[in-house]
Amino acid sequence: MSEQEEEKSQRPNHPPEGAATHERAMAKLVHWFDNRLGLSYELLRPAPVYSVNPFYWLGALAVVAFAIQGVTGAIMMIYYIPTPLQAYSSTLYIFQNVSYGRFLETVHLYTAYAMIMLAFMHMMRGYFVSVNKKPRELMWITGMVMGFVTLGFGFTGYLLPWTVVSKSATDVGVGMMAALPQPLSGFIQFLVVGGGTDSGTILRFYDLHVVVLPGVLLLLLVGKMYMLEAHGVSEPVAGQVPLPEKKRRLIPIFPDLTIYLLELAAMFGTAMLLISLAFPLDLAPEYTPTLAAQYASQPDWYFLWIYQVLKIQVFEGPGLTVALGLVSVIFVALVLLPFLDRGTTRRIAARMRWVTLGLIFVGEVAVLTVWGYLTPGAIIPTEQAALVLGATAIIIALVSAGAYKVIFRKLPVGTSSSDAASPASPASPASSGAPYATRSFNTASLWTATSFVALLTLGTFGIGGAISGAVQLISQGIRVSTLWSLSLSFAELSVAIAGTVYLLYRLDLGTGSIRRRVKAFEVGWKQ
Amino acid sequence: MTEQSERMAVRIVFLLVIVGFASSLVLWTIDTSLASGESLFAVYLSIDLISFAMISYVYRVTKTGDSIGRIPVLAGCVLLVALLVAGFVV
Repeated sequence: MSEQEEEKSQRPNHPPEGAATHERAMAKLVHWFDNRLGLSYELLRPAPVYSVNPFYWLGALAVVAFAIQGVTGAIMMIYYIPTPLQAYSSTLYIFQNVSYGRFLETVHLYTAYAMIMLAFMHMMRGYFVSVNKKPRELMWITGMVMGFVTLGFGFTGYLLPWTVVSKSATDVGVGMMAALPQPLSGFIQFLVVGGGTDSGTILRFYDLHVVVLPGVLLLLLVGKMYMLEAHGVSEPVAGQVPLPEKKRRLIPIFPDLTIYLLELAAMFGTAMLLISLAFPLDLAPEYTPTLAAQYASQPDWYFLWIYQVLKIQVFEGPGLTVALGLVSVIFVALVLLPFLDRGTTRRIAARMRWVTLGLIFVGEVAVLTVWGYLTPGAIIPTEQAALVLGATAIIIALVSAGAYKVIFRKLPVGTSSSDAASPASPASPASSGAPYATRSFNTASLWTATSFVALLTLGTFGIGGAISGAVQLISQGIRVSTLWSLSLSFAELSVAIAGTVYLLYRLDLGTGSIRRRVKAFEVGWKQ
Repeated sequence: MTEQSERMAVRIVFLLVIVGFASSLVLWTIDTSLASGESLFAVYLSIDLISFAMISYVYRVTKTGDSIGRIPVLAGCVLLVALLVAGFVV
């Protein structure tokens, strides 16, 4: 056997000696591809076993969604005509005359929604497990830019059917851009609107949607994959400490991890097919200025939280620039997170403030989105907005504080494998005896954490019901049913707050840390 | 992995290959001009994808020497049966 053949036979997917016939046949097939494509050997380095976990593959699933959109979008491009006169009729033609046309449009839309949701989940998971620490800062920033490009896909694609809903929503978005400070406003306007004519706008949106943004996303993806190859997969921050050798074992990208990704992709594809089958898309009427005047303009759900902020009374008129500035600050802070969260540890237990901030962000986005959905076109009084957003933040902060007390109190000091071995997380105060460390749940902790989650859910329903009731009171006048619903919501909210305070009180009996800080809580405190 | 679970893996994969092959055949016979074609297409493509995912799962787990989980296999089988029934209904 030549040296080259000997080296090939030692590759990870070579058929093992003494294996069963079917095993040998499968391994032979894999080996055939591997030898010719060099997938497991030359191109990508192996990854640890712990990466066989769906949470590690959220970004990859977003790429799968992007690929599905590429295929469905390419088919639709055959029929679609990007002019104001023909955009709607060509979309309608796809719906009515092309085989599976309506299904194709539905899959395209729902996969786009899934891509945005997966990108958001990928970002928040990265935030909570702090993957942005050294040396992965640029990976984080690249990922954030990819997230903005994904939102750009949504924004540009929404206009293309030229329905009254999509055109009105885009007009709102374009109008918001005009409120941005110069020269940013001028540049964005030039990029997406051009001369301001309808034909120019739709052509630019189409060009951005099918050429520019996919190109940019692919380039960024290559860059991110390169950095992933350079730094490897980040270690988990929770679970068994130290990470057992079995979990650290390396497995080849091809076929093991490739098959795992295909497995997830097949399940994701099935979900998309079945959701599209269950909830087929209906095309809204064609845009005309007269019809548009009868509709309350509303962006698609992923921009609804921003739109709801802009609808707060205080941000009306000249305040719009301030509101856009506030939203921009949130985005800039997210991009620059690696330089803001300077702590060295990645452990969730030692990052209470950042984790709580992240939870508040997710909670506020969810509340604003639901609220925006329930109140299309309505201006939100400033006091109401302060009450709702403030209450959401306080409840989440209280629940987070309580959960931290339950999960991470009476902690045995231990060293997380992620801190010990990963360059992204050098040794932290926690690993050298500080009060936070990782430990497993016991039954009592689990029950308390469940109670907190139940209280949070109750509180969320309470807030949602109160908003809905208040809006109904304003819009429809005083009715007995509305008053009942409002009272019930306030009762839910009261139970949630009282329950949270009581649970915190019970938890503090042992440690006394709240009692020491909040003197008023000493009343009625028993050891 | 024990010999018994290995035999079980081969049986599961054999059955899934048949299911996948049969659903592929159905996909080729669908009349695309009918309104029900869309639903049949979605259902049988889903059957194909689920079969593929389950075969991949069994292959991946047997390769690493772990035992095949009952819950994923049962969940997959229930979903396949539900989809097959749905294929007759739509």
